[in-house]
This record gives sequence, C-alpha cells and structure tokens, in this order.
Amino acid sequence: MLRKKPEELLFHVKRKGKGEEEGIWMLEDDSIFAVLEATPLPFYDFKKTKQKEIIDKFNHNFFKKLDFPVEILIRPVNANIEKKIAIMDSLLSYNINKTDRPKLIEYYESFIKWFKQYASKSAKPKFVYYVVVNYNTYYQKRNFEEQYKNSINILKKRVEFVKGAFSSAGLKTKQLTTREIEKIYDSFLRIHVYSDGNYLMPTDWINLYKKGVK
Amino acid sequence: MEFSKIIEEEKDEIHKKGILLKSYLSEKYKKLSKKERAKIEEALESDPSIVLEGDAFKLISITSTTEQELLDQINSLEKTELYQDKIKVANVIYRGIIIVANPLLAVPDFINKLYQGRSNLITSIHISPESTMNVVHHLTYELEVTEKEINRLAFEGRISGKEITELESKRKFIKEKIERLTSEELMPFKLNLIFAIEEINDEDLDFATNKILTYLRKLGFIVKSAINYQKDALKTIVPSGADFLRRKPIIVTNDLLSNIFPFVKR
Repeated sequence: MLRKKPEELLFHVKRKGKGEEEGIWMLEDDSIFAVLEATPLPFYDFKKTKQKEIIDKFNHNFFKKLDFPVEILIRPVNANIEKKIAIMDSLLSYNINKTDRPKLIEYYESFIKWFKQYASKSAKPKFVYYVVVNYNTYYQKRNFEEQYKNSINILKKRVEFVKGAFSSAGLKTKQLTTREIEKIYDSFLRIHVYSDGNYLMPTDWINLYKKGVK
Repeated sequence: MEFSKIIEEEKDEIHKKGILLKSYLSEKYKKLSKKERAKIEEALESDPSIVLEGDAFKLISITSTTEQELLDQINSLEKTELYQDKIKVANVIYRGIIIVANPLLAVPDFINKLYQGRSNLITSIHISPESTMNVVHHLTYELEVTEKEINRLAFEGRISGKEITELESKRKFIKEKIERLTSEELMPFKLNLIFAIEEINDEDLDFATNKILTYLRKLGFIVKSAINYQKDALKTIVPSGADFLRRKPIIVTNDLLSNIFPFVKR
C-alpha cells in the first residue's frame, strides 16, 4: 500500500493561468481539452421508432463526421450517500469527542444533524454524463502564443461540432467552466456530495450550514 | 435578462477579488423588479459561497475557529491509499476494470444493460478515428488467411461441416465489412473501454467486481482488474481525454458505436 496526497494522483492535469481561455485545461503533454456535460434522454420511454431515429441521427451526425478523439464518461453521483455519511459521522464523532472541546462537539452535533437532513433532501443518487474534447499538437518554441491561439480555435470548433451533433439527436450539452472542471477533479479525490448540478466539498457544507439552507 | 449569466459573472468577480463588492453589485440588483430579485435569491439559495444581505452580495468564508477546526477534522479523513487492486480515496474505494478484447462488440446497448440495477459503476469510453486504409489492409489480410484455410479444407475433401460453415460466414462478414468501409458507408474507430467500481468497503467492492466481471464475460468480453495499474485507471477515467493505460484498442465501426448510445436517463 502506498500513501499519497490526493492531488498526486491526478498530477497530469494542470489549470491554465489567469487570462487563459475559460473552460479549457491543459495536460502535461500540452494537449488541451474542454468538457461538456450532456443531459441524458428518457430513451426507454420513447417508442422504438423514435429510439431508432435518435441512434440514426447520432450515427450520421456524430460518428460519421467525427475526425478527432473524444472521451465519454458516465459517472454515478451520491451512490451509497447515506452509508458514506454514516461512516464519516462515526469517524468524526470519535475524533471530535477525543478533542475534549465542548464548543466543537456542540457545533459538530448540530452541523451533522443538519447535514444528514440536507443530504437526504438535496443529494439524490443519479448519473452525470461528460464528453471530453481534445486537441493535441506539437508546439515549436517560436511563436508559441500564435500556435496556442490556433489550437484554442481548433478546439472551440470541435466543441461546436459536438454540441451540434448531439443537439441533432435531441441531447442538450453545456460546456463546463474552468471552475466546474476543477470541481470534478476535486470530487474524484475528496469527500463530497453532488447537489443541484454542483460538487459540494466540506467548506461548501459548512458555508451552507452557516447560511441556514434547509 | 439572463439571470444565470448575471449571477455567474458576479460570482466570478467576487471569487476573484475575494471581497465584498457591495456598491458594484447592489446597483444592478436594486434596479431589478421584485420578481427578478426573487429569481436571483432562489438561485443563490443553493450556492454555498455567496449570501445576499440587503442589497449586497457577500462572500461567505470560514471565519470562526470552531468552523476551521471542524473543517480540519473532515479534511483529516481525506487520506489516499494506493493498493495493487484498488485505490482508497477519502471515503470511497475505486477499482478499475479494463477490457482486454472483444471479438466484435456484437451486443448492442450492452452499456445500458450493464447499468440495470447498478449505481456504483463509472464507465469511460475513449474513441478516436482510425484510418480506413489500415483497417481494410488488416481485413484483407484476415480474408486471405480465411480463404487459404477454406482452400486447405477443400483440398482435404472437407467441404461441409461446422468448421467450413464458420469459415465461410467469417469470409462473408469480412468481405461485407471491406465493401462497406471502402465505400465509406462505415467509418472505423479505435475504442478503449474502462470501468471503475466505486464502493464504500472491501466486501461490497469484491462482490460488485465479481458480478460485473461475470456479466461482461458472459457477453464475450475478455476483462480483468487493472492490477498494479489502478492509479493509471483512475487517471484515465477522470475527464481529461488521456488514456494512461495504453492498451491495444478494439477496432469498431460507427454502426456498432452508435448502438451503444449511453446518454440514457437512469
């Protein structure tokens, strides 16, 4: 077994600095990518003819014209959420009681009661769908900025293509912001709940609790 | 007016500056109608970082020692442990499963079938275009090998039976694929599939792994746990488009890919 800092697991992604394109991230090999979130369809509620029509459009407008790599990710969120919170509560209760700090113990008791209620109401299990669009090129040292700008334009065109092709099959997509992508990475490494389209981390829970959100 | 856009723009500003932008924001807010204000308030309700006080938007932050202590306690649970066959991250255990091969991906809709009754499975599908020429070249070689085998059997006088029937249907299948590829009716793609099971304890993880492996094997997939490659499997799954497992891809055509339509409300 190897213990690592959570961030070390995903060192291959880096956030571009300020002033860079919103919603575009870079890998260690300097390839760039954008992430779209797709809203799924109630596919099996449709008639067979409609299902076939969707698949045909998806085939014709997406796959038949696709000339670059994509990643499609299906991710469950809030799976086993009650059990996860119960485990976290038992560990925290034990650790916090050990501190012998009445103020913290009292605060925690009230917080965890709120958090359990909040999660049972707002953190329902569901699936989220992401589509990653990449662009990879070799940059020469000279005129890096110009080449980078060109890469961004190509990536943006690819994103537009995916959006259009998905839309023709009835799928809505939304390009995620830099911050939203960062939150997805955090969520693979940290305790979180997913609520209302957001990955909420412990700081967010405490803020919501302070805010008095029901 | 685009409320969501206003909110997003203002939130970005607040986060960037990390200060109270009272006058800047309140002017915009004040001008809104009661109905419009209610919409903004509703949208901010679920936002953990911003609160509305009067006409001002305020950035919430951890301010008291008790809050910070609680946060430290929660953060202390976020340990990561890397094992040969799993990764424990925070309160979750991940196990990556990789598809080594699949004859033809002949089961349409298999991903949706895989998800029936399962809420703990992550699927990452990496797709990239492949050159038609390469695939046709490879299939032509396969066709030659198949025809040689048919001729050999014919030479031995074996012109009927299971073996020859299978070879003839294989020849027919390859010929048809070559025709459809060269006429650009079909497009070839490289496909890499990675699954990860997410569980909260080892017992449930092993149980879920066995069930999923059994199911995939029944469908004809050659699958295995990503022993010693769990970190690479997790890095491949997170949405960045990169494939750190670098396995030989499965070659599929667009008609089969579109049949694994995964964007289904579950």
